[in-house]
Amino acid sequence: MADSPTSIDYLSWVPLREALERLFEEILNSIKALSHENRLKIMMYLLDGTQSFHGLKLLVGLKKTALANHIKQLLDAQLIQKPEYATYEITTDGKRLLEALVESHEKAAIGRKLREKEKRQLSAGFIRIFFNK
Amino acid sequence: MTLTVDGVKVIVTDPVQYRLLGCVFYGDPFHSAKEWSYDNEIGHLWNRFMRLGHEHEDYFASVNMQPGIGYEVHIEPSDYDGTTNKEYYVFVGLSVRDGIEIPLEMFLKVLPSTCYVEFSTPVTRYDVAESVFKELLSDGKKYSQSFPYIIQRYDERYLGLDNPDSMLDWLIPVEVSNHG
Repeated sequence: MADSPTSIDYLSWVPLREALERLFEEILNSIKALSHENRLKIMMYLLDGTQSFHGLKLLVGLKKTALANHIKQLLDAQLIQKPEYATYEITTDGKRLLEALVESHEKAAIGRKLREKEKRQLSAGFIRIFFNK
Repeated sequence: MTLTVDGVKVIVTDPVQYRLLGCVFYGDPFHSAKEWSYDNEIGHLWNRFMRLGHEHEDYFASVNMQPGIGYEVHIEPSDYDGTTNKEYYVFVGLSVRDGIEIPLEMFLKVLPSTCYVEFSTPVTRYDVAESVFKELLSDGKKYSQSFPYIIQRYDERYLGLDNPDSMLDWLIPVEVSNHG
């Protein structure tokens, strides 16, 4: 029997693989920065526009020190920035990252819904005709 | 995972998604020739595909992920009933990389990501394939079909329709059944 692929074709992902290797640390830092419920919420609220520290504290529902820690991580990853004192806005990079994540998940959701709808077995009539020709 | 069914070695694969470039037929493939032969619509489909392959030889060489391997996918439409409506889709093609331009006369088919049961039989022994299919996928068995299509895969072991030594691979999309 011919060898059959058991995972995504490697060759078609080579450019992605090379890019990932090249940008590994940057991507890792972005993922780490975003991988907390409260930091993702901060990013989400900043999509609505600039927020003050106090405003974020009310929106996310965190105490001052906890919020400051999360904000620092997002600032260090350059996903948000500080246009003026105690005021924060999402960066272009931060917005692009969220767009990529949302697009990826939306496509996956569309794909899942499509395939769920298509799942069924071959009919007995088809099987009979197909194998007995 | 590997099983043996009726003396035939069967492999159950991890999920895989086939992306195939080729030609498609919709209709009753056997309306002109009532058996598996070069004269039915599937034979004509392969001829069309091979002609396009020669016309675009360099292109095929650059996009083909598995040289020497061809796929034939038989897809049952939702309105097929085998009596009044015997029309279904047949797609023949080869595995290609993502993001490529497609020749005007050809089509890209991306199949669902699913596990497959794979086994080989002589081309002249559809009865063996049917036996394995039924043994593996009958009601109450561990695996059930996931999608309504069957793939036949051809490689250098295919020696023609009438040669008893000619082999082909069967790929049946499956999922683990609730009964299993």
